[in-house]
Amino acid sequence: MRIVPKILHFLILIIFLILQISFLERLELFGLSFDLVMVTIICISMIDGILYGTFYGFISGLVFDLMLGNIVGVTAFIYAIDGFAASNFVNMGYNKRRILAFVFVTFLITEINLILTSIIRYIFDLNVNLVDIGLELLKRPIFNIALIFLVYPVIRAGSKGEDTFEFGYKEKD
Amino acid sequence: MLNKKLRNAIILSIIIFLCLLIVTVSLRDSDKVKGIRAKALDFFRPIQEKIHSFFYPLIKAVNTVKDYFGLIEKVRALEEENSRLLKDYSENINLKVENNALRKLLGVKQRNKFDTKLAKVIGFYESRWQSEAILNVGRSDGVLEGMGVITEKGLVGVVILSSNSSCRVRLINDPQSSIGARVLSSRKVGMVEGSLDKKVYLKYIPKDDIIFRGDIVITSEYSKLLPPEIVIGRVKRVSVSKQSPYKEIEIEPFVDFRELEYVLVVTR
Repeated sequence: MRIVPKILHFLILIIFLILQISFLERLELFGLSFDLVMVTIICISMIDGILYGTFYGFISGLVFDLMLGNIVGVTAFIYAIDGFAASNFVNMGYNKRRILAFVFVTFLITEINLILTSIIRYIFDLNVNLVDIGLELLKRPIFNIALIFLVYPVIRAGSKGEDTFEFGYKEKD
Repeated sequence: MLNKKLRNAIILSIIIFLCLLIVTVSLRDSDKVKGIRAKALDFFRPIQEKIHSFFYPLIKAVNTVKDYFGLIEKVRALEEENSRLLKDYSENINLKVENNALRKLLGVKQRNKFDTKLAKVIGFYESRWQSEAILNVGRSDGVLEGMGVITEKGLVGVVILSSNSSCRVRLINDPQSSIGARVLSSRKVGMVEGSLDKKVYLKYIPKDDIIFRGDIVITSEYSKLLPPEIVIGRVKRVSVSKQSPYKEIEIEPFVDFRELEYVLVVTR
């Protein structure tokens, strides 16, 4: 196990987090927005495995909470669960159909992310509109799915082929 | 296999426990957490500022393309507004001279001017539950929590956390934002509040009060830190429901939050 790629992945994640706050949030197109951090956590989970996915998710969420969050710890929890679940989905057998795996895993994690966020906000007494959440459950994964095909090669470039999840078109099952 | 599953379960349990601990500490000991948050803002400010400066031309280009499609309508609306404002201009100058003379005569204090500090927006975050911006000024520049943030178009929001070199601003469309306001024409007082759908509403105006579409809403004089008479927006929609004793008034803010580049923090 080489530690340098893992550290590199962590640095990329933190840079992407700042990129999300400083730049991507302003690029809302047709009401759809990206979640670069979540997509990066999914990629790290696929490449480095469950431990790094969960831990990096937790740390990046914590940094986000400290910079912009309402309640410190909430985003850390959500991103950690995202990392944990992404790795589990891959281990469950989604890696049999590689390109589809990216789509399905990103779709599922985006939905989990949104549902968890809504539940936690509801617990903390913030209003939750079910119709709006339903709409968001449909439209939010679209850009995240497109984004994962851009982010994955960047994350993988640093791992020098040591990942646990190969990119689809390389080999046949 | 079992070992792996057990390891994963342990990892998840530890993370959940840590998160619960952090949430509890942040809710119970908010002063300590506030200090850590301020330090985090200071720590990331240089890289955030660099990334923002690097990508800002791209943001501007995308926004320009988006604006292009509504350009004809925008120009027509501006022409209409311009002709109306020109008509009012000379009348306003006469009224101002008359008003100042009367104030002097009656011994009423002239309106106070306020001090401002120019700041650059280096971060922006908008989700269903939150609308915030990060500025590159902080305590060392005299910026404190509760201070108002404005542009030449109107009110942007209020500073909610100030670190040494940067600060967080809660925008007026944030669901937790609540600002004392007044309708310019009728002088009715209410609260301007944000909402989950990112719209801004003027609340607590009784059903019987008359409010027109197009009325200008300004900050009221009851706030300690926000100066009065800063324009917030224009009434976009007024409706009444049988269940509520108040009108539902939607405001269209004058400021486009996504296009913020430079703002002024009202320091005194």
